[in-house]
Amino acid sequence: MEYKISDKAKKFTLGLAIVGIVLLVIGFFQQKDFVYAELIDDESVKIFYNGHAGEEEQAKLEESIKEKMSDYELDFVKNHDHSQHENEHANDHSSTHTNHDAESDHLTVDENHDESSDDHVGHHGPTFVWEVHVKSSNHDKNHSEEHNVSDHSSNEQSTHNVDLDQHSSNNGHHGDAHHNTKSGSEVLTEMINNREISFFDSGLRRFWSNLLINGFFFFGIALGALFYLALHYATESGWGVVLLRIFEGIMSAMPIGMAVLLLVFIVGTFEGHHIYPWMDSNIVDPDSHSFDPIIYGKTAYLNKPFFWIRVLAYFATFFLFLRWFKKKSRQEDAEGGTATHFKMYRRAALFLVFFAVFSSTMSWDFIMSIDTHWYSTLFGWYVFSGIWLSGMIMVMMITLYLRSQGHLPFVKESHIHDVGKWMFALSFLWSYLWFSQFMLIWYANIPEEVKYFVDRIQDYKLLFFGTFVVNFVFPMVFLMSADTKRSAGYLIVIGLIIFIGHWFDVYTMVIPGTLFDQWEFGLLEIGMFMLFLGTFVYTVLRAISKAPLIQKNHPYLEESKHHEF
Amino acid sequence: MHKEADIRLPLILGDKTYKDITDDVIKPIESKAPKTWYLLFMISVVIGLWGIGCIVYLLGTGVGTWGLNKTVGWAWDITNFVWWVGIGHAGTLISAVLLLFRQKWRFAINRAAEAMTIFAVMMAGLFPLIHMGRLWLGYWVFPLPNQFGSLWPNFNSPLLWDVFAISTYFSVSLVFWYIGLIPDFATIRDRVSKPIFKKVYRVLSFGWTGDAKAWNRFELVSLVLAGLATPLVFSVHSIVSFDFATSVIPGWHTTIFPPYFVSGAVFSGFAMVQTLMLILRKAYKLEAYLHVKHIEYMNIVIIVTGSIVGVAYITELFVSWYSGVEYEAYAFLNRATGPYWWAYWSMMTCNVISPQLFWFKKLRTSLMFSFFMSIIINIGMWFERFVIIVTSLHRDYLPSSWTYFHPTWVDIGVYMGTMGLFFTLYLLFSRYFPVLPIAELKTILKSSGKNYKEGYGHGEGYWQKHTEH
Repeated sequence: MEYKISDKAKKFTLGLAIVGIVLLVIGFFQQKDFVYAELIDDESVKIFYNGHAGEEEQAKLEESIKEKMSDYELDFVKNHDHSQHENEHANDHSSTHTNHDAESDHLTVDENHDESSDDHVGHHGPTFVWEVHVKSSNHDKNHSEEHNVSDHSSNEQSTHNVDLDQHSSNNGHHGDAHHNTKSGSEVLTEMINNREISFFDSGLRRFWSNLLINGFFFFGIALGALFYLALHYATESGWGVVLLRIFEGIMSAMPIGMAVLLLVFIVGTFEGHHIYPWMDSNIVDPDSHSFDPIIYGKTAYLNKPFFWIRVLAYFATFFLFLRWFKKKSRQEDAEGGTATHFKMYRRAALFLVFFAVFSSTMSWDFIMSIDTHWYSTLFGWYVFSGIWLSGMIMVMMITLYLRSQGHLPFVKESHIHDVGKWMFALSFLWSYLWFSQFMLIWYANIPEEVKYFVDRIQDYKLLFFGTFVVNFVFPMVFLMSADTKRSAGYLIVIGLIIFIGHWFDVYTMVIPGTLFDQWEFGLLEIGMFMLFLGTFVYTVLRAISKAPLIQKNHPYLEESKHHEF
Repeated sequence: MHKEADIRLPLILGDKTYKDITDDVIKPIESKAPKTWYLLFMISVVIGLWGIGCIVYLLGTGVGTWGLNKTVGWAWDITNFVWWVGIGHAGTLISAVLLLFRQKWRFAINRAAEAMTIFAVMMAGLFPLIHMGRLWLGYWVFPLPNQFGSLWPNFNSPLLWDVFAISTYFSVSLVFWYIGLIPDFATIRDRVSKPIFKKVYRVLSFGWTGDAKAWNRFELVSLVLAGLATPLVFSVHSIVSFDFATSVIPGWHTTIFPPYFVSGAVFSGFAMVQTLMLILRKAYKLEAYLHVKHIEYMNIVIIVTGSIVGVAYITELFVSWYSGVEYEAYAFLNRATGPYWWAYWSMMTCNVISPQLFWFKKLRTSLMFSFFMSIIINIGMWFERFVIIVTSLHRDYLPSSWTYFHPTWVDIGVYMGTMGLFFTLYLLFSRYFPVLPIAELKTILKSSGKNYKEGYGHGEGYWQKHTEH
């Protein structure tokens, strides 16, 4: 009953990870910090930006605009507000999100923001606002100067007149508002709002957010396997004994997720990224411009020392239990008897007690506190259902793979069927909790709460409803019948779809709170997911190869071997 | 071939045969009822009639005879409603969810628990009907065309969802229960000698023949109904919780309500099953089929669901502070330290703290202690609903309208009356219906019977076990 990881599997998993790294590196340099444009009229565009950008970067941006708009004559009217710069952290968190045209009907309690009054509510204002006058290059200059005088005479401003005489392909609409082709200002607005022109995101927000997503997702899978193993012992289940070594293998990969999460938390603690607003010392400092009284009110719980105590408590507890279960099951292999089994039965119940508390508080700490203002009592259980389900899908996939290689002679169709039932049932549990949380908040429509979903529906509509539809409808339709739960083909296809669906579930929990509407999906996300998946599966297979595939002295082994229905 | 591990304790004690099972379960139906049964029945009927009297008085006079006031618009009525619906959860959970989980110990309790479910849901249904004031227009809750005198009901209202959820739950549970009863009715029909009984049980058993085809369909229908009933176990109490959670009242509006209500319902349902079964096993001498191991399993379900409820209480309390919303925080502070502190702490003691005593094996295997605890939990779960409903309402945003709720004799009378009616129905059930599933118990005798497990029975299992060892 020994299993050795085959060369093919090794090549495949590690290859996946390596391709992932390559994609990740390419994706890494595509992180953007969005610039917004608002069309004023045919000849002028307002460009604004809320993040952190020095003179040099701004000059670079100007250059790139000029380069892309080389057919036009551009005239930059810059309005620098220097009071902004000390407050860039706050901008990262809140106002980037509220400050563009689609936001006007947002239900936001805390950040009702008026662009024009940016002196006193400084930390809510944009870092710079440029008004760019766009004309086809043969347009005369006087017109733009008129604008300057009338619109911005009182502001401190620097006027750049940019004359680019060459390449005037687009001519013949001198001062004319009605023409068939797009005006220059429309072209520029479109280009900026399509993210063709933007800053490089020096905060690496996409990178850190994705690290958190993948770290948490794969940590969750290992934790889900550990939870189910404990549940199997505590409920004295018999049917799944022949699968327990697979659960052990999956939970052995927990350190990957833990290490990545620790990295994210350490960097966050030293304010290297701004995933957790409450970790930002400016936000909880009553003397700072970016002070947030609501977040300040939560500091008794959300503060760095207490957070670290909790993180270490979670990780230490889970890791110690994991080690202990593995050790004991090997001891049972060697010694036989039922003493070890009953010890594990009792210890599993104890684990469930810890898990009941920690699974909730952990998801508040790691995920819910990203949207620090928001709260939902159901959140912990909702996250837990996703963790459990992703773990179960991983178990199914690894089992099907090992079985197809002939390593699991005792795993019959009935076992596969039962794991399939768990996938089906847990998808329902997850959907039930998703719906309960969403419906109650949507129905009551209390601003503090509903903001969370408003953000997701406005900027992530397809992802937000898509994950629900995929994760609910696919298992319901395709795993309802007993036959599909016994067919490897169906299980793999549906399993993979909802596996990715649950990755996106974690994605929509994290990204809207860290990137707001400034999200893009590309090589960075795909590459990092592949890197994690490859590494994770490789680690799992290696861990499985370390012990016999069957717990030969488990008292319920015979029940499991004869499990047929 | 099914195999059961040696370390599993037997589910049927004693040296029982198939015939013994039939005899033991049918004995109360065949023999004359003892005096105590008549005594209990009379008491229940009297209390039930008193309750009906209270309802008639209430309908004749108006809902004003309840202790409700302008601030506390819902009190005992909805508390009782939720309490009874909650109790009505255990039966279907045992018959559907435990069936899907292949838990064989459920055969000792499923029949009686399902009966309890049916009767409890009936009692629950009474309260919204009475609360309408005009009972005779009760059909207005259904989406009837306007010509019937009703206005099309508001589909946005969770109260309407309740109508559908509870009526669906009730009908599915009833069908489930009845289908399980059919083979057992046939067994009784074949045994009883009194012509009137024979006739009645013939009708009740729907001409069951017991051939292979019939059994095949019986099992298939049971599985399908179990599949249908499982989401219903979740949906009913979730929708009951929506009655509160869709509102914007602090203390009511919280997203954890649906799963927490479901867990609380299973918790209270198991407590009631425990109360009833501990009496039943003694009165009908069914100790061999429902013994300490079964009680222990039920107590474990009670610890688990009780702890889930406990985690939910603490989550609510914590998040009320974490939210930073002062009204939210006040609602919970007021629960724990306000004028209703005694209700809150009764709830906490009964539901969260005392079930933890079941972690001690000695206590969870003690029948007396289990019985005592089951009563405590029943009380605690009533207080939970009372705390949620009344303490969230009695102090609203306007301090001038803060008030305290006092129940009137009608409040108490209606509640006691539903208890009377419930026990009347339950006593009738236990006299004339088989309280254990005869046919299903027989299916586990050879795998989980003590005699077969230990090898001194003479069934097929005995030899197979020993040739394989």
